[in-house]
Amino acid sequence: MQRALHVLAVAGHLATVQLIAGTLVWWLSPWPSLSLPLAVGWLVLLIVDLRHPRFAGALSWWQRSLALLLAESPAVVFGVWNVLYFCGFAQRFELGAFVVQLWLTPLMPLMAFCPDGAVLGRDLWLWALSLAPMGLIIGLALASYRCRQAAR
Amino acid sequence: MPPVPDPNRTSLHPLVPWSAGIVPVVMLTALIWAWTYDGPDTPAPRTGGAFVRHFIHYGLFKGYAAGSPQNEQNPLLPVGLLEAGDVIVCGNTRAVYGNWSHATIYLGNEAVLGQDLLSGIRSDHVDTLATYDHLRILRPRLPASTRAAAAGTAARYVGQVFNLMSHPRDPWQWNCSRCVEGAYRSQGFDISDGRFWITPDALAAGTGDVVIER
Repeated sequence: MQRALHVLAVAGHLATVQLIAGTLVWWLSPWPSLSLPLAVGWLVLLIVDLRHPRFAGALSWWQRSLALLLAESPAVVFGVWNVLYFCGFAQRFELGAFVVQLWLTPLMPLMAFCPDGAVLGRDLWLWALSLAPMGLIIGLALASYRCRQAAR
Repeated sequence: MPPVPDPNRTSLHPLVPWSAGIVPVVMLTALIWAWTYDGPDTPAPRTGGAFVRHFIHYGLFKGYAAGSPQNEQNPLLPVGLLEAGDVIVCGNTRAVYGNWSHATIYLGNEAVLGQDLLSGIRSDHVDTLATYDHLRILRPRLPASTRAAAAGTAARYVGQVFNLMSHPRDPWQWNCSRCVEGAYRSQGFDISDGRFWITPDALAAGTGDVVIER
């Protein structure tokens, strides 16, 4: 029970960091020289947080991955929906696409670096944005695979 | 004698549970704030916070979003009247953005800039605008060469990042109204009515002669 609460607390904490980062990135987006380092800084902070023995690092690896999945769940669900729509397996759902954009606001400045081009008639940045939640979870889970365990 | 640590208890930093509460509290506060909005559905408020409140209230709770067309078949656009750089604002009933739910710019050769969340920014045929119930074509009071240059700039937005909530001064991310406003701003002209959020209403109220309206 306590472990489950810890996973929820870490998920909420990660979501809070994302909310604050998103607000700051949006606010600074007229100045890419500020918003881009902030976006990268947010990713670095996530890795540090996930590896820190008193933050997310206090959990086991699969619990950390679960917390990440919970924190990114709105973007994951609708990101998958977007991909299924692009492939012709789901209905168009604009509100879901909006949720993905909103949740991933800290990552949006990086989307401008996607190369030109399209796959199945969709710009590459749309694919990158829709797949970003899964990529974020896998990447951060791998980045925190080996870390010091919490002081017990 | 120091306390013996419980081997089954992991010590989380106190900041973690405290910060975990921020997202639910912020979301709940924002939802209650938006739920209690009692302004009219149109026109949308001009100021930042009131606009966001209106946007959530009518978009999320009332489900208006970009509105929906009331007519099955509308007349096509009079392409012969259009000139490159003309601003076209379109509207469906009860769009959350205001009286007008979409704005675009005529690129020439029967093409307009098309934008949405799931297709990004692209070049569309003008006939795609026929589904809108209301439509107004505006011609900014600027030389034809300036308007053509703005259309050329707008054409270069094709393939760039479409973000519905992009910051009004973000140079890399665009929404429909900001594509139009940004194309003219690149020529040194502000064609909006000066409000913070660049919406189709801001363009409809900005500088421009009405060429046609239906």
